[in-house]
Amino acid sequence: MRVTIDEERCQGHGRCVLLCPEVFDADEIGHGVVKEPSIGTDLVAAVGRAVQNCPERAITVEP
Amino acid sequence: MTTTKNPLEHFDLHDPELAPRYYEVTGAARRSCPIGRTDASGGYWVVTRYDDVKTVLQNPSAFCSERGVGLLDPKLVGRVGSILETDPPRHRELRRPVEQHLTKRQVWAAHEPAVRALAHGLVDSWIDRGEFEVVSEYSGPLSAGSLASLMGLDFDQRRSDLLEAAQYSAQGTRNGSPEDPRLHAFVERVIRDRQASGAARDDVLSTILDGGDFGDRPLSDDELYGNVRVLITAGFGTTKAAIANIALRLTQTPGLEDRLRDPRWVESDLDELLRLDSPVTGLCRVATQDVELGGQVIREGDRVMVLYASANRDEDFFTDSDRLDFDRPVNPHLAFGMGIHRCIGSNLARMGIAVGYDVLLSRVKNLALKEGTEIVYAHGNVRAPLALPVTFDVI
Repeated sequence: MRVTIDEERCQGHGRCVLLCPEVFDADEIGHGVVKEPSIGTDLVAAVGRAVQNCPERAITVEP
Repeated sequence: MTTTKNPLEHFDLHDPELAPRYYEVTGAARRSCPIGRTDASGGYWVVTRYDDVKTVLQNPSAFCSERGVGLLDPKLVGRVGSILETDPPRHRELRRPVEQHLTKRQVWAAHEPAVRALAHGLVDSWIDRGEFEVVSEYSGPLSAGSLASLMGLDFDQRRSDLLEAAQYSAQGTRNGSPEDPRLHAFVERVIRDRQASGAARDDVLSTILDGGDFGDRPLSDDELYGNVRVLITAGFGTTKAAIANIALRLTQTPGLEDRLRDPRWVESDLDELLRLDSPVTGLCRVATQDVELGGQVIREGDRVMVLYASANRDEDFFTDSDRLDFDRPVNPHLAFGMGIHRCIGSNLARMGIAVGYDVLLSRVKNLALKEGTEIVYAHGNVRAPLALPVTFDVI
């Protein structure tokens, strides 16, 4: 599975970093970045929470 | 065809009578007339549902901020140009340099020690009494101290000044002077003091005053003033309210105290508490064109108020929305807003709340509302108890 953040949509809420720090980090102005774009099944649930809790709907997960 | 009476016909965010009924009134509106026009404050649209609030906030070209995010035209206020009241492309130029001082890493590294020490000092001042008033003796001074640290003010001397000035900023803006002269004087003095000190520091105040790269042109005097002022007006009452709202929940919810002693509570539980008791009730945009929204036609120039706290209780979006549910899997709440104007200080707010409760709950337990207390809510843009006297046992 591949995780991406739409930079145009992300406003730096930081929810993804709180909910799934294994995959997400914050850049120098606090906007989300994906540090591990390729995730295994063990992280699907945690990334899913990040996806669903992002108010801007900025995170995408593709097979 | 049946005619539905508009339940928002006389909706008035600044009516003290609305504050205790805010969720009742907005809940009824969501179910019958989710977007309605009120005749209060010269007339404005009131937007109550999550999806409609989202549409407005994610479309700054149709719903602009530079004509005011309160109920007054900022030109009447006299000074314009804060990040909050600016649209793209200038907005991005103003926001970026400030944003870098407000990342999670930055606020914890630069301000957490001072806020923690302050929290302990506040607890010291009343712990022998067995009771304290949350708003005036904890959440208020803690929020002011957190801002004083952010702004690099002389901590002991200026924190009480800031607290005093910030109180004035919390007054309603429906009638009377929108710009309290005392707040104005405080902001002017903060600017003057830093400029006179001649020392450029690596903090948000120096960035605003002389260090930042704000695009093609330096800040105008109004932008400079507005961006210092907005740190106080947006940062003080909101964090103060969040801490007080959580304290009230603590007195009402068995087991919550222990839950908040687990440091991980700020990763998700905090967001459920902010969803349920959102400090910010509503802010405005102005339509830049005729636009259809949720079946209503908004005319160019119409003021549109989006109700964050109502959107966060939208039953179509949050199951069992009036209930505190820490196991809620989906909670993209709007307590910090959304879109380009999303709260720039959210990391500072989260840090202040986290440290505030880390300290408080390490020293006291069994918080209980003092017998006979009737809760009175603040009215206006921020909703929280005006006073919250509680008793406790010392740990």
